[in-house]
Amino acid sequence: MERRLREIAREFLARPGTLCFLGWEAAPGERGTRPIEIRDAGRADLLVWNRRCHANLAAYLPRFRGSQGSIGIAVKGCDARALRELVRARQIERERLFVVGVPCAGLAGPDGESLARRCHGCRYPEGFAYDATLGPMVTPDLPPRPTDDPDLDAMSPDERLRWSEEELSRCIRCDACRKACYGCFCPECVFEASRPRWISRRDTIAEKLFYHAVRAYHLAGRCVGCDECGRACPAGVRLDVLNRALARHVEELFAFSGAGVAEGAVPPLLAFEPDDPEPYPGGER
Amino acid sequence: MTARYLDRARLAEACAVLGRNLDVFAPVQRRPGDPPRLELLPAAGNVTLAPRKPLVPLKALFLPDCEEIMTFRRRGGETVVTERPALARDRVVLGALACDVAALALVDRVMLQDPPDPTWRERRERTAIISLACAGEDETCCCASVGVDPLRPNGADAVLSPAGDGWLLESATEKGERIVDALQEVLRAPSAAEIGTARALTSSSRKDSPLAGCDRAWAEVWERVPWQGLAARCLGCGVCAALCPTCHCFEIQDERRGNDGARLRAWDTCAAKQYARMASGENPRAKLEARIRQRFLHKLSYFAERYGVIACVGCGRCAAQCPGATGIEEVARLLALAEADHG
Repeated sequence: MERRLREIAREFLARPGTLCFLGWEAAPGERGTRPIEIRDAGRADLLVWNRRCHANLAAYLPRFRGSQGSIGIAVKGCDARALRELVRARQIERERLFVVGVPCAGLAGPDGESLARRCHGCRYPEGFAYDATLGPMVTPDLPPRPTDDPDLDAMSPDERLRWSEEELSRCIRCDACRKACYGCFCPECVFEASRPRWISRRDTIAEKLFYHAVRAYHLAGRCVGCDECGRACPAGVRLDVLNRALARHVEELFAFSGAGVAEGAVPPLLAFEPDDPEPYPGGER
Repeated sequence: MTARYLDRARLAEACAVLGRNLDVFAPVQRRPGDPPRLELLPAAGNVTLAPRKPLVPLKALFLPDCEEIMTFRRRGGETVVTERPALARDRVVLGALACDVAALALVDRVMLQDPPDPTWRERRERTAIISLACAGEDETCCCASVGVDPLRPNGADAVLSPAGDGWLLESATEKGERIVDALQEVLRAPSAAEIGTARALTSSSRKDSPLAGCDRAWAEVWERVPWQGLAARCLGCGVCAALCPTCHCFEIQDERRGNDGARLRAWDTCAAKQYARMASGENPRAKLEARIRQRFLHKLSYFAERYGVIACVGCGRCAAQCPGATGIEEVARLLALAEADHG
C-alpha cells in the first residue's frame, strides 16, 4: 500500500497546477511518523503508511486559504470526516483537493502494539468521494470502547464536576489541544482576544474548566473524534471523554449523523430549526 | 564533605524532616503512566526520584506559569498597592535533573542582569537544589552535547546518585551542606560497594547532537534554512515553548474588578501568533514560519551572541512532545547543513 501511495503522489505532483501532497514520513528515532508536505514529485518516496500515522492531515488544510494550486492529501476514514466538515465550513474548496483514501484497520496505541484509544468504535464516513484509494474504504471491525472508560452521562452532576475537576487539574494551559484541532480555524480565537479578555491566565481550576468547556462546546457536533488534541496534550488530560460525551449529546438530541459522517449535514449547533426539540440532559422540559 | 547514604525506605521520612523548616518540592506521580510533576509536599501521589523529566520544568518554581506580582485597591481617592509578599520559608527541591538545573543558570543570565528581577532572585537565593544523577531518560536526551554533565549537575547544591536500594548523597555547596546536616537523622554511612556503584554510573545522554558547537551567531546562514518546510508540519500548538526549561518570556496583565485588582505575570511565548502583534494590528511575525524561526534562533543564535552560550540544555522535551516530531536538534542540524551548503 505504501508503494501505491508513493506512486499516486508522484503521478499527482507531475500534473500541471498542483501545489503539494500532504502525507506522512518516518519521524526521527523511535518517534513513529510525522506529517510531510511534498512539493517535488522526486520526494514522493519519503511517504510512508503504517499504524503509526496518527496525524490528521486535514488539520493543515485551512492554512491553504488564499493560495493557488491543487493539493493532494492522504486521509484515513476518520480524517475524511474532518475533511468533509472543513469543505462544508468553506475552509477549503473540494475542487482543489485530490483526496487519497487510505484503508486503516486501526492505529497503534502508545506501546506500538495495542489499539489506539481513538480507534475503538471507529466510524468511517459513508459514501465519501475519494479521488483515489489504496484499497476498499470500509469501517474496520474494531472493538467498542472499554467499559471502564469514564462515561460522563452515567455520572451524577456532582460526580461529573468532581471528575472534571480532577481531570482538568492536570491541564497546564498550554493551549496545544486547541491549536492542534482541525476544527479550530478561527482567525482569532476567543482565548486569544485581548480586548476584552474572556479568560484569565490564573492557574485555577475555574479557569481550566472554563477553557475546556468553551473549547469542547465550540467543537460539539464538529469534533470527529480524531483525538489529535489528546495526542498534542503533554499532560495526558482525557479530552476524548469530554469530546465524545458532547458529540453523543448533539447526535442524540438533534438526530444528527455525526460530524462529517454524511455529505451536506450541518452540525446542529450551527443551524437554526424552529422545531428543535430543545431538551437538555437532566432537565427535560 | 563525606558522602552519606539515604535508603529508599527512608525517602518519605527525609521529605518530612526537611519539611519541618523548609518548603519541600519533589517529583510526584499522580496516576501511573503520568509524567512526574514538581509539587510542594505533602502532595497527592507518590514521590518518585527517577530519571524522568518532570512535565513542567524546574523553571516554573522560580517563574510560575502565572502569579500575582502585586495587588491594588482604590479607596476614595487613594490607591493602595501591595507587593507580592516575601517567601514565608526557604525552599528545597529534591530530584531535579541536570538539564533543568542547567537551564536555571541560563535564565539567570537574563533575570539577574542589572537590574535583577526581584522575584527570580529571591527564589534563587532561597532555594536549595538537590539533584538526581541521571542515566538518561529517552532518545531525545542530549544534555551531554551541550556541556551538561547529567551525573554531576552543575549548579546543584547536592547530588543524589542511585546506588543499591537508595542514593549516595553528596553536597556541592554550603547550601547543600546545610541540607545534608538537616537530614543526618535519616542518613547513614555508605558501604564501599554503594560508593563504587554511584561512581560507576554512566549516562546514555547523547554527545553527538548537532547542538554541540551551535553557540555562535548564525546571521550568515539562517536565511538558507528551509523554515517553510518546518512550518509545513508545525501545528503551531506551542507545546515546545510551554515545556521548554529555558523559555522565560512573560507578559503582564492587570485584572480589575470594581476597585480591587491584581497585576499578573504569566508566561508568554514567541510561538504564539499574538506575541508580536502591535496595537495597530500589524504583526511582524504573522506567518508561522517566522515564529518558528524566531523561537529557535533566539535560542541558537541571538542568545549565543549575547551571552556566549545557546539557550538549550538538551532536555529533548520539545522533540519528544511535538505532535510533528520536530525539535531544536533538527533545527540545529538544518543550520549546520545550510552552513555546509554555503561553503
